[in-house]
Amino acid sequence: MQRVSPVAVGYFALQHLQKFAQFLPIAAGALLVPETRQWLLDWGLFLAAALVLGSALLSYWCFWFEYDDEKIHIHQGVLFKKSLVVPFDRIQDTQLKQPVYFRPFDIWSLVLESAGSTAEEIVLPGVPVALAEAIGQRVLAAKHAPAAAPVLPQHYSLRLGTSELARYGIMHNHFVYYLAIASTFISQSDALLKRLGTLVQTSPVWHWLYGYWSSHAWWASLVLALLAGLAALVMVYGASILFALIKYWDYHLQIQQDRYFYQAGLFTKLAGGFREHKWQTLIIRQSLLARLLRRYSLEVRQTNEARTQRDQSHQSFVVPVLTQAQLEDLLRRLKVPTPHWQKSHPAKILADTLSSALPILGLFSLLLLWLEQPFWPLAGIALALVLLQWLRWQTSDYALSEQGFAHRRGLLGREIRHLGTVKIQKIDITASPLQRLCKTGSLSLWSGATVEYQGYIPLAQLRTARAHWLQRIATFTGRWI
Amino acid sequence: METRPPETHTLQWRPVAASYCSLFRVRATVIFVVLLPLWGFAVGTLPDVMSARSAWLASTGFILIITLNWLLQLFYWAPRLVSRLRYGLREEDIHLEKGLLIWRQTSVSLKRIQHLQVTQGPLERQWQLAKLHLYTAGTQGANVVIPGLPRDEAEHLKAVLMAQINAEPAQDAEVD
Repeated sequence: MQRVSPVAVGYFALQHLQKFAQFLPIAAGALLVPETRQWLLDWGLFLAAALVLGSALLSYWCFWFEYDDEKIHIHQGVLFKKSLVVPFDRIQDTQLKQPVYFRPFDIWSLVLESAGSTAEEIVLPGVPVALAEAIGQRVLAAKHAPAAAPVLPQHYSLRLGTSELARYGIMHNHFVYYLAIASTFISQSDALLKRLGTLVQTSPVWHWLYGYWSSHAWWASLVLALLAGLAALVMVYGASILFALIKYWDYHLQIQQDRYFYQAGLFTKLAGGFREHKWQTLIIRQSLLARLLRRYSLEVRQTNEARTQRDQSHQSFVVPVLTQAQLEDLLRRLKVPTPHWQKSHPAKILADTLSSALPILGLFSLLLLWLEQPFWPLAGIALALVLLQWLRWQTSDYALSEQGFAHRRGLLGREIRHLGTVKIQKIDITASPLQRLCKTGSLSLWSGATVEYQGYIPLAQLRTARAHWLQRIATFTGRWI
Repeated sequence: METRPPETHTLQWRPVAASYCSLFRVRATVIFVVLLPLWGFAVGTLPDVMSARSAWLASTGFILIITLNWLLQLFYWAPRLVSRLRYGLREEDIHLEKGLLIWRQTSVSLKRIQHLQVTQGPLERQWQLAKLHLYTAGTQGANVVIPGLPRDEAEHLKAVLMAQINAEPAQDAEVD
């Protein structure tokens, strides 16, 4: 019987704090009532802190575990006791996480995820790395050795330096979207605009800038506006790069035989891994800027019911930045076949144009009717929609083979998804009247992690592929999950 | 796709129970009856918010649409949808075909079935019908439901599937 480190009280306190956060709306309501407000301010905060700390201490006291070569036994719970025995061969995934408050003590949180319909996550907070590794080794020892000998070198290592992480920050800039959303709200806020006006009047620098702007020629205003835009872009991209550096600092990917694992993070250290046979869907992303920088991102999706239930699918295994050569090397190791890209039937342009054009044209017709304007602009909109759907069709491809399915999409950025045959859970072939007319159908494929869809594939090709896939799954006796 | 595709014509399609059509009709009737009070509400309140003529047009239009939909469901959609609904079991896989306007064929390898379940709703009990649910390890929507099976046939099919799944080598079912 072992206890975790006393520092884990911090972990339990945060867990309880999240539970107490549910009562925030009630507390906010109580703050509006003068009688309860004073009491809350005098005693409420103190009481809440005492409750969080007290329950964290009790949780720590009631948490203990023991393990042998085959299983781990965990006892937890203060009022409702829970005793859990998990055999190591049922553990699907292990992860090491190091929150910032664990770092001075060199302890980690070991996350064990069990498989099956009653999948759940078991966290051992505050264990030394040696103990975490000892448990990890037992999980590994409970598995069988891989059936096939690896063809590629058994050890592989990839470290991402600051320049590569900076590229990731440029490629995946979420702050641009936040800025767009924030600017919409800011432009609607009268109070904020008033405050900006006051700032211009009271601050000498802003006052001078405003005076200079309004008193000089149009080109001076243009230059100033461009400079302001540039400064905003630098700030937004700077923030994104900083975020990427913090999140993926010292990213180190290693492959040993069929095991893939990585470690990264400046403040909160994150470590994750998977075994080769476990990948369900591979997603290769390349935004417009990534295409200019000639870099890719790779996401490996695995079956994980516990995460899906908690809607944490974003925590999948990610290699943030890869060159073309590195990506090809990794895909070879993951045994992904080279896709032979094909175009779907051109009738897809007609179907997609009709489905997108009808509502848009209907709305514009109503608008023009209301404004009492002529209807000829509708022809221009219809033409633009046809052109857009043609471009979408031009930039979309699919690949069917005995080894699996792949498709790539994206007008500006690109996204390629691969799904291996033995991962297929369900195959759906549908045919609408228009598709039947041109002897095509749509394919939906479910893997253990995602659903992939492609329309307007020749029906004969779909039926052949389905027969091959079902036969391959039936004869496959290896592990796939 | 270099090799010859496996034979697909060996699949023997089986229809669902003809009584599933009656169940379908009762369901359509229940929906129609549930919508009727809405029509009553419209007749009662619309004249207060719009002209009498517009209110009459709106409420008459509503009752016409739901009645037409109900009659269509009873005499056109129900028999055709049920006649299009069929399933086929082979040694290694199971298939379901359905859809009148949009044809749909769903296929699942028996090796990917995680568990099976037979369910029976209150209406289904009246006609001794049941649904067979096939669950795979896929994401949302990856299960297959075969509706309109006679209860005995659903249980028998479940037993047959269980026997075939259990007869498979143990390695594939292993999860780590």
